[in-house]
Amino acid sequence: MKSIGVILIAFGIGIIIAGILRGYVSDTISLDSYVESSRPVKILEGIWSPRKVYLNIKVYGGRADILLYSNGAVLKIWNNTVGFIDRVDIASRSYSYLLIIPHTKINRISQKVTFYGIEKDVLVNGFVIIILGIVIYIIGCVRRKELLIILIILFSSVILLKMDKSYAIPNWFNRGVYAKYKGRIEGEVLLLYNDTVISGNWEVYIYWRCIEINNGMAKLFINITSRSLDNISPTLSYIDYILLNISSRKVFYRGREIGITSMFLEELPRENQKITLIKTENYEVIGTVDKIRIIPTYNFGFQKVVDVRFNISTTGTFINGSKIKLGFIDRLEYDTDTGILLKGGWTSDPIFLIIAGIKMMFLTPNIYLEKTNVDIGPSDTAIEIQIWLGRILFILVIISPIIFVGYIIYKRLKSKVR
Amino acid sequence: MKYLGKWWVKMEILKIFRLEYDNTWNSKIVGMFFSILSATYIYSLKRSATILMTDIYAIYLFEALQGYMASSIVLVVFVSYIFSKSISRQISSGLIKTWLGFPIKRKHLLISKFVLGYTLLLIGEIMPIIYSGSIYGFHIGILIVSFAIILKLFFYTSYSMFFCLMIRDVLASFAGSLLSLYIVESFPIFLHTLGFEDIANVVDINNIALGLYKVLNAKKWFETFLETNLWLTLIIYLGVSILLLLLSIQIFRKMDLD
Repeated sequence: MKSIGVILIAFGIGIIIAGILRGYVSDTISLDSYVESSRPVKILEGIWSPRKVYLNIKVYGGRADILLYSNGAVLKIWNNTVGFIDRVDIASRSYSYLLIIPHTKINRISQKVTFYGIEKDVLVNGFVIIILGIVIYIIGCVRRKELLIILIILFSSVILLKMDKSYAIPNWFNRGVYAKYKGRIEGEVLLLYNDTVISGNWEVYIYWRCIEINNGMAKLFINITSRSLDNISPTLSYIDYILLNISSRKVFYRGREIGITSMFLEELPRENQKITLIKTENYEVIGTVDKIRIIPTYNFGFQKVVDVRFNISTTGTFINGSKIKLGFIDRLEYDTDTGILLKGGWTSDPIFLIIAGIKMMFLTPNIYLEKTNVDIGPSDTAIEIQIWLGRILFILVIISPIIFVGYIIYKRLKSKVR
Repeated sequence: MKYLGKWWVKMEILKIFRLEYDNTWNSKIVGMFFSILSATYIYSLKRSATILMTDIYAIYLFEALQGYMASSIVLVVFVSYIFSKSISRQISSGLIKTWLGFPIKRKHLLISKFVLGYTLLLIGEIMPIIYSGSIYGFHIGILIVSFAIILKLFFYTSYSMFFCLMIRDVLASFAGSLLSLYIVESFPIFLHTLGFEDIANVVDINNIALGLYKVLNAKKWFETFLETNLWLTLIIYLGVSILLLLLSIQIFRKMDLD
């Protein structure tokens, strides 16, 4: 009886360990469905794991209503959309799918689904089996029936535990989304609109917020601030509004097109693809897409990014009249789920030019996304674990000689006492 | 009188089981074995952590196979450890002679050790497979993988027991059994790389589950059974396992325990 109890307890512990390990790793499914149809279509059909789910769905060629069915009920609806980014929490392991009801003929549905967090049923099952094992073990030890009744009540109450329901947070590029970037200019230069160069030390903040969105055009509030880090450099702050075409990244200012911004990518580009990264009235910067990799971010854990390399050069004139040739090679790193800029040498942009008169900023180190309400997806925890394991291993290597010497001293002292 | 004698032997075997459990297994080993094995098995069922497509039935088998392959690594370690502790250690320490103080034949003692070891290891392996049924639903893949595990474990245990009878040094028997079982596991891969595909398929014990799946899904199952050479793999592993078991009994019966 006791042995069966031990076996069940160990088995339950094993299930919990497996549940925790599975929960630590986020799993992503990327699919493309070519439908060429205006009839309803089911995608991602199957038994969904009871975890948190990050959904990134894009419908190409038209608009559609999208319904998430789980366990026979509609869990969530996205009406008249060309795609969405959202999170849902699946409560129980059940047959689920997304039903796409096109308004017009659509041709492709891109699906990227990331499952993350602990599977509730695995964890609950583990605990139930452990409790069952404990009960059996105690039955093998004691004969008191009152105790058994208490344990049975405890066991039943654990089985009847209920899970939380679903929740959701705002979609990407809706009204109210914002992003705040931070960077530094240390002993480097700001190249102003009329090619005048000033050098100094600043902390640079770039903030944008979507005020309204209409027919694919977003009205953005922009604030660019360069806060002085010494007493010499002037503090500069500019605010204004622009219009942005979210499908082409074209920027409009007071009814005039002023170029293409690099604040996000509307579509995830292919490796080695050349894209127009920045465009102003006077110059165009072509970027080359590098490989996708995982990087640590400031506030969002480890994220998968697509690197876009570019080079830029220009000449400027200092206030004293001396000329300077400026040029550098840098990269911008975009989140693969949303396409939003996460990190990089965001040195030049038509937005900077039109609002702050800044043609180029030489940032050291690169600018990074400090805060946003855009859901850029869960952190890639597998990488985090690897890094922590690496750190632990490093610490162990460092302290192992100390432990070893300590052990030898302890052994010698013990043998002396004997 | 004859029946009373048999009943008495049964009682003695039960006592041996108890002693063997306390000496070789005990709660710590059982706990470690069951928790590690179930954690490894359930962790490796990766598809159930996302979306399990319900229209592709073979996925269920492949998932079960993944767990089976991952848990094999843990199983090899525990089989070697258990039998080196149960056989080599008790022979080298002379404890086995005390056990033979029971009115029990040598062959019964060895079989008791084998049966207890095999049963506990099998329960440890089958439990997570059955648990996976609560995630995936009970399907034919579970039966196939369970059958493959029964056979594979039979081979592992009989081989390890034979090896530990041959080498009395505890550490050497553990390391030797572990290493040789790993070689047995990786030998088909080696043959594959050399280009001997047919021989590799026959000697690969892990092919039993896939072969069985093919056979059960085929319309002419008997022809497929012959074509896949599954019968040959079954005969080889069952034959070798039984032979090793019989050899172990013979060796132990005539073994000088002093």
